Amino acid sequence: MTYALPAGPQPAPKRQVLIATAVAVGAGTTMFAGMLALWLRFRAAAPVREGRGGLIADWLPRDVVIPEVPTNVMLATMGIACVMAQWAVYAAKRFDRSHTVLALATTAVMGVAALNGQIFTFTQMDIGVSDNAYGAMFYAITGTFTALLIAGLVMSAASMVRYLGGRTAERDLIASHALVWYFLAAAYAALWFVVYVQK
Amino acid sequence: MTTIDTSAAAVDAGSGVGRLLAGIAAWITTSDHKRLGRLLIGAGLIVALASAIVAVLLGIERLDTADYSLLTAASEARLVTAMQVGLGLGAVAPLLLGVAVAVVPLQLGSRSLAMVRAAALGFWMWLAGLGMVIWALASGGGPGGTTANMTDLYLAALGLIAIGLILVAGSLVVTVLTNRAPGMTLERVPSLAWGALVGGLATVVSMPVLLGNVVYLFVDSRNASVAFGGADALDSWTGWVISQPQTLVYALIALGAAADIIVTVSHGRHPLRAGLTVGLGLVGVAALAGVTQLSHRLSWTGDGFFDNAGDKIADLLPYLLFNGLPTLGVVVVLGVALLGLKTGRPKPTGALTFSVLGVGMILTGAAGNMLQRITNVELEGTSFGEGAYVYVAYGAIIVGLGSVAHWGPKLWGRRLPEVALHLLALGAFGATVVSSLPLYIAGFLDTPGTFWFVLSMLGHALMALVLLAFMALALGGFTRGPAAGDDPWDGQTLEWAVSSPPPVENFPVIPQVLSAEPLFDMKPTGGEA
Repeated sequence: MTYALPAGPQPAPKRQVLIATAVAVGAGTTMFAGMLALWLRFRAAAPVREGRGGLIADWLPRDVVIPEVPTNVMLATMGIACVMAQWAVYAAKRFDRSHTVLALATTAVMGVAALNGQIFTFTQMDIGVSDNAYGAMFYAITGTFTALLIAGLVMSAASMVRYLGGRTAERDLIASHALVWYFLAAAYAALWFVVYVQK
Repeated sequence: MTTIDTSAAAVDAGSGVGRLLAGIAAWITTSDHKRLGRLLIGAGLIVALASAIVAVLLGIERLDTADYSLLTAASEARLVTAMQVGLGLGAVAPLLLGVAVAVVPLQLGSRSLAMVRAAALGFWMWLAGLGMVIWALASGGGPGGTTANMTDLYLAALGLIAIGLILVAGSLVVTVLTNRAPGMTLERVPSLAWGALVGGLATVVSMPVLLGNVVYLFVDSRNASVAFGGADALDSWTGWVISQPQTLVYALIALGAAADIIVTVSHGRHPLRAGLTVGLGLVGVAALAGVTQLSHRLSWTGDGFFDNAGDKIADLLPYLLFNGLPTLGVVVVLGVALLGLKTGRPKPTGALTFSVLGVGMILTGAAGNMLQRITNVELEGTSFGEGAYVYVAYGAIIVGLGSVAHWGPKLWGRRLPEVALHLLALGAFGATVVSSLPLYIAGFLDTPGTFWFVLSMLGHALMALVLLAFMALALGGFTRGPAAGDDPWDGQTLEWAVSSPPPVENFPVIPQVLSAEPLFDMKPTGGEA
């Protein structure tokens, strides 16, 4: 027999998109943390050589110079992108459509600027992916970040299109968008410190 | 958002071929979680059968003498990889995820799986990845492979499998967190749903690490192979995903399912439901911690018990933490679940036999993993590790079979013959013991004879037969068997409140939940013994 269950009240808002984004961000975090851990392991296992200030790990090839200005600018850009993404959340909460779209667009522009900085860094570093272990791992980890950055840009574009299309009630999507950019900024900050600063 | 159902019935298909194509299209593009779950279950069972057959082939190869050999050493290594990938990522994970995908939304009083299209995409990615793994291993790729392109294909396939499992597991996690009926707090969630939450989370945070490894390995392998040692060293970077204790992460849903089945057939309100929740959580957290801390081993040096006591304690604590806690968690789940049998009015079903025996096998494998990490007994690198892996994998598959027998009547509307199920459960139990225990024994021997490997091979062959018989029984029973009725086990959770099979949207009205046993609240007995 089928039981006639008592009907429940109208379910509370589920925030499904935000929770799903949080789960995805958790997955991305462990992936990136695992990659950074492997990087650190390889760097720690590198043989040592005499440097200007004493013994240093022979990890970064001697003739390779990391262009620090674009990588530092990227860090600042990612920070600004987070502020813009949070501005979008603030504006969406107040049903301020024009500022929401403006904030989303600015986030995307910051993302494009960061992407530009990453590509510029690739062109300035005279290292090939087949040259040595450093080259292979450098392109693998920075390439992964670039792919994640492009995914963030796609999300910005999709959020903007949906919002412009009239789905102004989807505030969870805007909050999810901000969460993604916070994750991207944190991932880049870790990458910047481990790969570009500590080398 | 409006979901448009393009089921076979809705498609205008005049001819037989048209109906067939429409039916196939409806399955391929399905957004019904029950269909998706059945796809995962079916595929998982087929891969489990194939893996058992590969294990038999491997056993035949190990019988070889100096006179003949079926395979080269490299081919044998690839066959081992095929069996391990098949059992862990190809059978256990999808079979149990499939059960959860099909049943958990019904248990939660939900009309659908959250992100169901992402889960469907995950299934197809997993399937494509598995096909690519088979192709790569058969063409000389994989660990120890001799063909570079096929090794790259193997890596890409592992990545696809990882993404696929993440998508399915992620959908389950989001479903449990967001799609519960009013009144169903996390404390009231049934054990299967809780196991799906914990197991799903463990999968979602562990599989991306494999993905990160694969990215490194792929970039290195496609170029100079200077960093990671190429195909010969592949196992040292990706092997953790098809060995202990990661296997326990895949088996987590099995523990939840077994606990749920035991509680259901005990026909009473469980006196210690929180114990099940804690036990499942403990296995999840401890297994994940164990995966990240594989290097902790116990080395017992010194003649006397108190010699080097400080070193012993320093070794013992992390050893117990990362190797002992997962085993303790399994003991807690089994013990607390069995407590329900004592306090309720149990009715032995085939699913119950499968569940108890399956969890027993998982426990034996987890304990074996604990033992092999004591360096003094010198078991690492022997067949003991493979025995522990097979114990856990087959144990989880046995619970999976029990889950199909238990929830199959809900999904298909028909039930399987109980006597046959009991016999198959005993057969699966025997097959697991015969395939794994000899590997344990051989691990202790300095020069294990071929006898133990012959026994193990026979065990795998028996498991293949059991799986084949179960699949035949399920195909026949679920299409022509007696009608199951809506509540064949006198259940206590919401899935038994709807018709068998359930309507597309599961519940005509979203129910109100007042306790952890919402169906008992509506029955005259009220779940009292």
